[in-house]
Amino acid sequence: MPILLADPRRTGTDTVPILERAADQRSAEADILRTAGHGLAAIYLYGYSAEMRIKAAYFRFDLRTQGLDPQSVIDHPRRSSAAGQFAMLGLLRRPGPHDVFGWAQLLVAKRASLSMRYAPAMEREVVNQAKLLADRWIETLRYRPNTPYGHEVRIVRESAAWFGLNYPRL
Amino acid sequence: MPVIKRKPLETTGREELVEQLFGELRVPSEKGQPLILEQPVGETENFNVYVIWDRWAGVPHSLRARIILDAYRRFDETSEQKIPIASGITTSEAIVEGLLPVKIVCLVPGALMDDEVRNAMIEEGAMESAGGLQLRFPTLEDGKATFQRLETRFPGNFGFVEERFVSAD
Repeated sequence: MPILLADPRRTGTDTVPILERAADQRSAEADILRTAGHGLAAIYLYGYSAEMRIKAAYFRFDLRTQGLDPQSVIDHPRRSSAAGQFAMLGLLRRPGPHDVFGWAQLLVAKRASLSMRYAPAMEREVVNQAKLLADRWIETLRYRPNTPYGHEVRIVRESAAWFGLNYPRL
Repeated sequence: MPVIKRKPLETTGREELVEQLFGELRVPSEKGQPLILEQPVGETENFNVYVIWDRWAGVPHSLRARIILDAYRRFDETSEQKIPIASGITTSEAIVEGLLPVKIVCLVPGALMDDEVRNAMIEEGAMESAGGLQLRFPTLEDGKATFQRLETRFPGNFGFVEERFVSAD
């Protein structure tokens, strides 16, 4: 009998490579939904693809600077510990679990704290793209019957695409 | 119909906002807005800048960041190299995001009907919002000086309230 889909033995655990692959999949699925006219569902998946790329970029950097295996599990304690550094990194509040704007700031500030900053224009764009997304995407959209405007779908798609395109540089 | 061509904020209001922020950096006001928060980043020379200011209303986030950086650059040419994050936030946005959990509230029923009390709060940076007049700060420490000034003018009229913003992981 096959292992059930929701079984952790089949889904595996969060790691950077798994998040990267899942981000690619969600983004491709969002494109299909958008083309078929399902704007909200497309936004929903574009948002997750961007969130995964931001977090994958954060932990890829974090694991590398700590000299840890890039395939290390990103479990709850690791995520919680990362978010808990917000004050030390000069952020005003702790990023929430699906808080793309907060995690993007955490990524930028984490690199700055280790004197490995992005170029200033890149720093601004990481935060700006995350803000454009965060103003239009929240994980609870799945509970809502809203129909987004075309420009909202476009902005979220472009922002998610920006994180996809620039992921190697993040 | 006449054609009315408006200039974008990029070329009109932007310079005024840069100039006001620059003025604030040069000679910081004792009270009121903008509230500029410089947050050290680790043990480096870097610091994030958050500017809470209701003049940001209607200004896109990316432009707010550029305005802040322009003002800092005018103040200190090397500052852009030290600021990884520059973020402009209105009072309402800051309240929603839980960035201003500490508030000074009027304890005397009806006292806010008194223009003198209201004006004193507004002078200190209080903003009108859907929830009434809001005089808020990121930390208790940040609000102490304001509280003492108000307490001196209106003894026993004011108190502190701290809202807890709980973030689930």
